[in-house]
Formats: sequence, C-alpha cells, structure tokens
Amino acid sequence: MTGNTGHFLRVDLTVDSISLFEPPPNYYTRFVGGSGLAAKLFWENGDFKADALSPESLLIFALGPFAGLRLSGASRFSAAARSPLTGHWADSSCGGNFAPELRFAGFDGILISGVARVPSILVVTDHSARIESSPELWELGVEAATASLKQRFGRSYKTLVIGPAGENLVKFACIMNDGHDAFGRAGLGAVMGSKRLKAIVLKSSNKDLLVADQAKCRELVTELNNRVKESVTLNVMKENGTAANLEGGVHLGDVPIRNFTSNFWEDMSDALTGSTLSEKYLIRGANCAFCSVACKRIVQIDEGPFAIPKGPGPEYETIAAFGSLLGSMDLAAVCKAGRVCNDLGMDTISCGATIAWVIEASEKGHIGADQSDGLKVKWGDIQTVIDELLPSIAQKRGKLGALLAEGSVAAARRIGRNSNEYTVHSKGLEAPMHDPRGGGHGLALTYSVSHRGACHVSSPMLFMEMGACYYPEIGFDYELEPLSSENKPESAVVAMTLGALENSACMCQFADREITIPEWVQLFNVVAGLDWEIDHMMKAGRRIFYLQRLINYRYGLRAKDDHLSPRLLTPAVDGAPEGIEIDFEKMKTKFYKLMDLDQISGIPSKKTLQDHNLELEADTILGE
Amino acid sequence: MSIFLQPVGVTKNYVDTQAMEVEGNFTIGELLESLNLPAGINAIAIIDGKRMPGDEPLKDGAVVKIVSLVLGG
Ligand code: SF4
Repeated sequence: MTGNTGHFLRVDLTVDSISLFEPPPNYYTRFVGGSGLAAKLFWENGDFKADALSPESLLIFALGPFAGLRLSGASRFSAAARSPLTGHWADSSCGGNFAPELRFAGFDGILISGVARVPSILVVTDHSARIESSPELWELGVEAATASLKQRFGRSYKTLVIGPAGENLVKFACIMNDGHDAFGRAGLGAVMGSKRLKAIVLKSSNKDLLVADQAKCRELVTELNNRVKESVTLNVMKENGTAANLEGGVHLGDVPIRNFTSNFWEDMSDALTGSTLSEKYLIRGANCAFCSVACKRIVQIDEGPFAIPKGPGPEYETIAAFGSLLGSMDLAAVCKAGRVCNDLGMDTISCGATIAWVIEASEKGHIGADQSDGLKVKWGDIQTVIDELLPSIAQKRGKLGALLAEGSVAAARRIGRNSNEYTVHSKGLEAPMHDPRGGGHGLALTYSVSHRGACHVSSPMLFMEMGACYYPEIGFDYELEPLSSENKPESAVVAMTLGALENSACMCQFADREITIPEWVQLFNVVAGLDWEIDHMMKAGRRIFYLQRLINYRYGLRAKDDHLSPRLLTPAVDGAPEGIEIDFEKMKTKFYKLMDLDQISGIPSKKTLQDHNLELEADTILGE
Repeated sequence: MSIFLQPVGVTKNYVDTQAMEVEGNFTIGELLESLNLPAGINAIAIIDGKRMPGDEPLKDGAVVKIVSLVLGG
C-alpha cells in the first residue's frame, strides 16, 4: 500500500488493550481516508445505540492518503464520533503537525473505545503504542498539560490534548494539537474526556512517505507548491491571516454582528480586520507542517487588561465569534478570549455563539437572575466573558456555567420561553462566522445539508460563491451571484461532493483551491497508486456524502432536519444584503432532486446507493 | 464627472483612496476593470451600503467602496 500504511491502532481503554487493525484495502479506494474512511469504520464498528459520552462510543482519528507529503495543505486529519452536542455524526478537521508524524510512525489512524480507570495518555511511537496512567495531568489547562508532556517526552513529541472543558464533558469541548491547532467543532474533546484520555503523544524516527510514483509525485508536488507560493489570495492570507479581508466581509454583510441581528458595523470592520491584528500584535505567521501559506498567527500583547505572552493568536472564526458576534470591537480582548478558550479546550465558534445566545436571551428577559447566578453579561463586555463566563462554562460551575456548557440549542430547550428564537444553528451545531444572507445564499443550502450541522468547511461553497475557484471539468464553469439562489443547487452538488473528498483526503480548503480537478485525480494516482479517472474520484466523493447521510438516518435525522434557524432565513435588516430573501426551500428541493434524496427520509434510493457501491449499507437501512 | 474611490479590506493593497475623473457613461463594471486588480481578488462595488451590478452607470459624486469577495474561513 502507498500513501496509506494500511494500519490503524485499535485502543480499548477499559481493558487496557492495544491492537493493530487493518481495514480491507478496498475501504481506502472506496472511502479515501479521513472523514470518509472514518465514516465507513464507524458504520462497521460503531455502536449506534451508545450515548456519545458512554464507554461504548467510538472516537476515530483518521489520516488522508496525502499526510506526510511535503505539500502545502496536506497536513490535516480528521476526528470523528457521535457528537455529544448534536447527537449525530460529526467529523472535525485539524491542521498542525500531528498528521504527518502519525503516518511516519506507521499508522493511518486510531480507533478508541472504552474508558480508562484513571486519567491516561496514549503514547505512540514507530509501529508501537502504549497506554500510561497520568492522573497528574488531569485538571491542567491545555498549555500546562502540553508543556508537561513536552518536558517528559521531549519537545519533538507532537501532542493532542484536551483541557478542563473536555474532562468536564462540556458539549463543545475541543481537542488541541500542540496548543495551537484544534479539532474544534461538535464536542469531540468531550468524547475524549469521557474516556479519561487526557492526551495522545506521538513521535516517529522515520520521515519518509512511500508513494506509488516517486518521480511523478515529486513533479506534481513541486508544481502545486509553486502555485500556492504565487497565489495572490493565499499571499494575502500569509500576510494578514484568515481575517485578512474581515473588513471587506463586513461590507458584504457576511460577518455576523450581535448574534446575527445585524449585518453592518463599519467601525468594527477596521478594528478587527487582519491587517490591524498584524500591525498591533503579530509576532509572526505560523504554519501547518509543510505549508508555505502560514495563515496562522503568533501574537503578543504587552500591556493592558488583555495582555498575553507570545503564543497562538486568533484566526477569522475566533475573531468574529468573540468580537462582532458579541458586540465587541476590542481586538486585544478577542486575542485573550481565544487564548483562554484554547487553554480550557473549547470550540471558539460554539462557545462564542452560545454566549451570544445568552446575552440576547437575557436582554429579552428570558433568563432570570436565579438562572444566571446574578451574572449579567452585556454586548461588548468581553472582560466579564473572559473572567467569569469562560471558566464557569469549562468547569460547569454554577447554574449559568452548567447551562451554557450544553451549547445554545440544549440551553434554550432547558430555558424554554421561546428563547430558541435566538439560537442560530443547523442540526444543533452553532453556525460559523459567515452569514449566508451576506456571504452567499448557497452557503445557506450547504450549511443545512452538511452532516455535522451548520458548517462552512463541509464544502468549498463559500469559495465558489466568491469566485475563488472553478471546476470546469465537472461542470462548474459559471460565475455565481452570491445573493441569489440561481444555480446554487447545481453548484452545491459539486461543492458537497468535492467537500466530502477534501475532508476525506484531509486537504486544507485554503491551499487546495489551487488544485485543478485533473490534478486532484493525478495526486490520488501517484500517491495512493489508484487508477482513477475524474468519474471515479467524484463517485467516491458522492459515496462518502451518502454514507454519512445514512449514518445520520440511523440516528433519526430526516429531510426536515436539513434546515436552518429562522434567523438566518429572515432578511437582513441592514448592510449590503438588507431586505433580500433567501429562497431556501426552492434550493433545497432542487438539491434533493439532483442528489436523488427522498424529500421525506432525506436518504437516496436503493438504486442510487447500489450505484455507489453501498449495497450492504442500503440493505441495513432499507432491508434486503 | 468625478467619483470618489474608497478601497476596503484587501483591496487597499491595490487601490488608493482617491478622487477620480471618469467619462459620463462609465459603468461600475468598467470602473472595476480599469482598476486592474490581480486575478483572484474579485472585487465588487458598494455605493450607499448596497452592492452595485456591473451594468449600473456611475453617478457624479458617487462614493464607491471597492470590496473583494475573497473571505477567509
Ligand atoms: S493554509 Fe493555513 S490552515 Fe491551511 S494548511 Fe496552510 S497553514 Fe494550515
């Protein structure tokens, strides 16, 4: 096998056992890797009755075939499980440095079940692994735990660590790689915490990747890396990070303001944009392994209430989630809030969104003093958010901390009194920081049909609507008008299929915009030794999309769940998209038709499943 | 006639804030083209807070914000 190694680690923490697991080789060709392969392994090995936080739940880490390749954008990997936040399928993607190291150590991923008797860590080295009890790390923040692990094992060990939020089963807890990169979304840190697994540490002495055609691979990788280096838009991100055009986004109405109640705030746009971050606090850019873009930020704030030492700075999502979404234009406060979230191990998107919900719900009189422990958080009061709210949530301290630790949707359900009017989500996952009313109506569609819930990285739709990529070989050769539904179902078919592939190949959606469709095919062929044409590749993407849909069907999701909170479908009251309606139902109906999804069950016909080699899965769902 | 150009966000790298003299029947599309922005920047024009279609003729005294559609995630 090339690219992949053919080996997964299977870890059962209850019985302290580690074994080698070899997925059938055709799983790799049919489900690619990453999110797709994780879905297939979950389908085969997961207990669909198990609660997300029970010992029986299965947590999967999976690499794509390109991990280990010295290619910009190729060093991401997937984690997947039943989400404790949403109750259904979730996969999350993380950059950083862990993925290539795991491949070099001889593994394509790790399957983890059970629960350790005492807090433990998993130590992975070349072709071997062991479980070690490490109760002394429990209750440490991510930063301290990471530092302690590096001191014990050596600086070159790569780490995946959960913070107090994961230990306390906060529903949107994340998993941090070396304290900077995150498996942010859908609460997979809580799944790891429920297993009493504080960390995974990893080191390999090998640095070679076996590929199918060394010469052609080198040529293609050189060509793609050069293109990334020359890309105008990626150079913009290199200079000012993923928030480089936040100011432009505010003018387009894309950046959410005060819990998605407004689409324009001019002063904030300049205060929070990427160039301001660079001017004021940037020390340097940082990169995922082998990526020349280096869109990540290392910042330092020397003085003031939000002073922080040199370390990871916020990317776009965090800036918007703790800035405009909470009614703040204080960039230093945002940097500090992001740093605190990282240390506590919480997804900045869901955390910011849940806080935005409680501010609005309190303002509208839905949360009484008894439910908020007397704490009143107001728009823009990030000091209180940092000092009081974030630690309370991570520790589930007091009534308010415990309430918000459930995420906005469950919290609103508990409070009742129509407070769900202020939740902004799809399928229980809080919406990311692109408002489809201003960013693009296609995004409304792809948020809603994304398997994990409202998600901007389930597909390249955002980039397709902004005209940043075209795929003529698969029919996407036309310009899209962002604030219209025209051609959105058709382009969403391309976007969701490609998104399934990207997340299974574990490629970064920024860097891979430079790759053409024929080059994608070539990359699979020269690395993994496939004999693919474009059709094979696209069919694999579609197969993965369908399989993940079947998993959600088994969790009880139906077509009606492919929906968005009313707020995202109510015309904006200001800014560039003011008054413009999203023709959501029309887009969704057409998308369902094009994807052969049943308008009630939300899943494809048996014939379509068979055409995509999902016969066994079809039989499980629809009967033989 | 004269208009006033105001780049926003990343377009500041390529366009100066400036007053500009243009022909009477100049359209938004023609203005954007004349700016020679690098491929990939994909700019649109916003006047009085609203996105302007390419075929819209410019009006004397218009303040035109030039905004790139390229967003980070
Ligand atoms: S573009 Fe940024 S997020 Fe993507 S791989 Fe490169 S450094 Fe990582």
